[in-house]
Amino acid sequence: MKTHCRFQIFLFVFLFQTIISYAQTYTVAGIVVDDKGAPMMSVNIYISETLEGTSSREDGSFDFKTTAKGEITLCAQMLGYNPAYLKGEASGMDRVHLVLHPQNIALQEVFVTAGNYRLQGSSKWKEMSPVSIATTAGAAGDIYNGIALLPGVQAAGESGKLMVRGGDSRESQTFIDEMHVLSPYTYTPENSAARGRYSPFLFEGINFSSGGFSSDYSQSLSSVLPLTTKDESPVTKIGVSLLSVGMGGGGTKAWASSSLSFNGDYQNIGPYNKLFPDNYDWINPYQRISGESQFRKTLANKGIWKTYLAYDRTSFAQHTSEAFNPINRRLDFEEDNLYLNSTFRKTLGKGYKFFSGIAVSSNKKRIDGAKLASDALLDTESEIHLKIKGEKRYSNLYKLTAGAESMLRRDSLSYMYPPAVLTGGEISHSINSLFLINDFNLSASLQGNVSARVEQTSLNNHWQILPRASLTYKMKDFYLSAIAGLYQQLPDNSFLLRNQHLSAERCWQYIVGAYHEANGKTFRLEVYNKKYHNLATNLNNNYKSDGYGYARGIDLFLNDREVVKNLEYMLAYSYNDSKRKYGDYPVEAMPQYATRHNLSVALKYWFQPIRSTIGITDRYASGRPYHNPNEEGFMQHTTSPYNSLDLSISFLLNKKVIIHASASNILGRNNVYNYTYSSSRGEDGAFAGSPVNASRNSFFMIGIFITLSGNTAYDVSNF
Amino acid sequence: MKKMKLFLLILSLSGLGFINAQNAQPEFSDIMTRAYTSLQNAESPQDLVNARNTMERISMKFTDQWLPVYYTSYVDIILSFVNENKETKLTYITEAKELVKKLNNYPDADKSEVSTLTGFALNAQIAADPENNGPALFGELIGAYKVAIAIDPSNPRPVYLLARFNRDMAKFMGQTSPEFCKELLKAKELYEARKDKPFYPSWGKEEVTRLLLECNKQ
Repeated sequence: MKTHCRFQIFLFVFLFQTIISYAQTYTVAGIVVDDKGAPMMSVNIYISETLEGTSSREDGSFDFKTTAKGEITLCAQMLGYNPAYLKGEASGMDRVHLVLHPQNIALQEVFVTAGNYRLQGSSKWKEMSPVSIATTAGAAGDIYNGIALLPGVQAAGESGKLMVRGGDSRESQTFIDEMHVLSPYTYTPENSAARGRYSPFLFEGINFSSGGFSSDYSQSLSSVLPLTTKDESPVTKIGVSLLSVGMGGGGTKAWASSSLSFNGDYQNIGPYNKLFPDNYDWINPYQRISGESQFRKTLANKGIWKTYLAYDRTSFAQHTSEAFNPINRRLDFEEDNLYLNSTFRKTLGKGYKFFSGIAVSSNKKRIDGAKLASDALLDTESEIHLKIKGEKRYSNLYKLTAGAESMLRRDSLSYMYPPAVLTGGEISHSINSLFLINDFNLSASLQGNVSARVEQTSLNNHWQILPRASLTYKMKDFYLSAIAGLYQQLPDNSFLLRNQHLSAERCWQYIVGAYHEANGKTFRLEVYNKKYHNLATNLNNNYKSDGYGYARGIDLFLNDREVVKNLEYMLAYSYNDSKRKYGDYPVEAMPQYATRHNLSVALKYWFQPIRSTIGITDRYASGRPYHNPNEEGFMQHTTSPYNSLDLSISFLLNKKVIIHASASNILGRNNVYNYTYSSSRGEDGAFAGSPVNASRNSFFMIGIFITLSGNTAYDVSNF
Repeated sequence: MKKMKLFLLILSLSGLGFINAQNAQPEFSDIMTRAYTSLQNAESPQDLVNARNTMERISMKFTDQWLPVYYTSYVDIILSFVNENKETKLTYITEAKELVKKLNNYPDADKSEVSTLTGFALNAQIAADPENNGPALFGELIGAYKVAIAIDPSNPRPVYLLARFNRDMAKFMGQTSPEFCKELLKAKELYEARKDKPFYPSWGKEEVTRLLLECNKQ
């Protein structure tokens, strides 16, 4: 009986299965090709909502049996391609032809547009770490020095600031996590190079745009440098560093969904000055103490909240005198700088993204003996930047971004010759804007962007529309790109304090470029034309907005990492032709800081036997114009060319210790940046002149970075 | 006999009812068995791609199951090692990393295995371009394996992969790694003690055994 029962169950199951296997089946078969007709292998072919499917063979063919009936949807899916769908009767799918189109690169992540250098390598290939910047010879661990090697950026050995495509250093702005940084450079004595206030090791992505940047950014006529910090830092670590000019330490504490990083640095040039004196007569050496901290939290549902706080204090005292003035005075400098930024970013469903942020910058300077013995200059600048932005992606073809931002600025300056306040003033104003950005794919290879910003400046109560349009065409590894846009920026505070009704300075930029990226090679060629108007002028204390000018030129860039194993080289050449009438220029002239030819060559070689990266950089720039009051005309002369040969070596002593040494301008060339002339005629009836040099020609640095905790090795980054 | 027939009928009906109600489960384990077997028997990159595609299809049908996503990502990583073309490597790694991110949203996913896979994907990225990606990513990689070990100290995979990565890094730094064989032995013990649930990740054991043979030769 029992056996019988078992048999029955068996029979039942058997029958049941047989019924299934004898159900009507159809064959789905065909071929899958790409948009050029080439057969595609390994494509995932399946019937939507079922498990039935297969992978295509080498010749693009495929076939499988299906039990599905009626109308079905056949899908073909492959990495890097848009999926293809085919609807039809299950019975009629035995000879199908499927075509897969490459995914539209444009809306994925456009990383090639005119003027844009994304050092992070959003091609994800070069997850270029800040270490790369630190180890490039000539960069000396400074972001701006590293960026200065890219085409379009002019050599500025005496100021260390970015001057891009014929624009002066004011025209370039820095952003951290999309929020504006009011004073990104450290303050240094005259003619010595400033550095970035914030350590490169803080940033994950360094994204430099030498022009034609997105409507996301404003108040910059030339270029923007958006820096992004890490979203998460999953490793707990701690480390210290000892440098020839100071010391530092910091670390990160990581939790499951959040992390806290901190960093402290102390810089003192005193001991270095004793060994290698510069042109100054120091009383108290240049000292800078800084502390930074960042808290990051990944919230549930894809939200990321980051807060960054940095404070630094700089001080020095020196004996100084103006050129051709024998009177020596004591100059005391003190500066306190605070920067706070807090951002929130969230990816909502259905293609929506949201961003909001606030940044507070405050900078306070006090200079005793600024211009005359026992005078005092007090300058307090502050800014609150608020930004909100939303993004919606409608299919793969169209993306809309809309945002609003506000910059509330304040500057108060007083120049005292005790007990009287001689000059000074205070301005408090706001810049409010709305922006709208449309990104669309016209076809798989053609991408467009049309955007606009409406900006209101409270000082002159002016509303301005700033349009921008770009077009990118892609052919395999080649890109062609064209951009036109209008940008504006308020004049410098020193002008606004005198005349609050000055117009914003404006610049039309037109850029055409060609790019090629393949097999570790990057080649870029760009031609630009910039037209400036409403530049602020100051002739005999008449402050007006009637200046104008132009800058045009060619940028060439070549980067290759594959030609010789372990060798990376970079070549950048820029030709710039610019003239402007601004400031106290009586006529339109080539600006004093501009150079016509700029060339930089950087080599980096990883030498495995001694575990070292060796870097060599050479930088050349043709002479700068200067004005000689002894002769007719304006800016009649040109200085001798600039050249600097820099070396660096980074040596991994062991897993926990890295030694970095660098030397700039090892040939000791005495570069001349300008000439200054006495304000009165000498006995021979001529104005006496003398060259302007950097406070020192060469600089050597050696640093040792030690990781104290855990397993992390050759990691100089505390963040 | 009548009773018996009735019983059978009820049994079969309730059985069918069970199949209907829990439609997903038997079908899932059925197809998963096939996919899992074909993955384990894969002999060529083409076999791997086929197994990967099957896993992807399963993951689209059974959206609440984490294992098919895990294996799609895992095979992507393997394929990135196998493939010579840099662009193709990048495509696989990018997708593998996206899938690992997705895995974090599955409440029942094995957190230790997911963290191991995070580290493994970074390992692939470093292997693709050691000079540039090494310094940038190795801290995160070691961190991921350590998290995996902390969540589940009995998981042999992160122990094995961490030992292996430490050895490779020591080689790169021109140093020796005396702990390597000891760590491998530990991983082997863990592999032997491990009782794997159906379809759970179980890979790595053969490789540990092979590496241990090299250890013994020295």
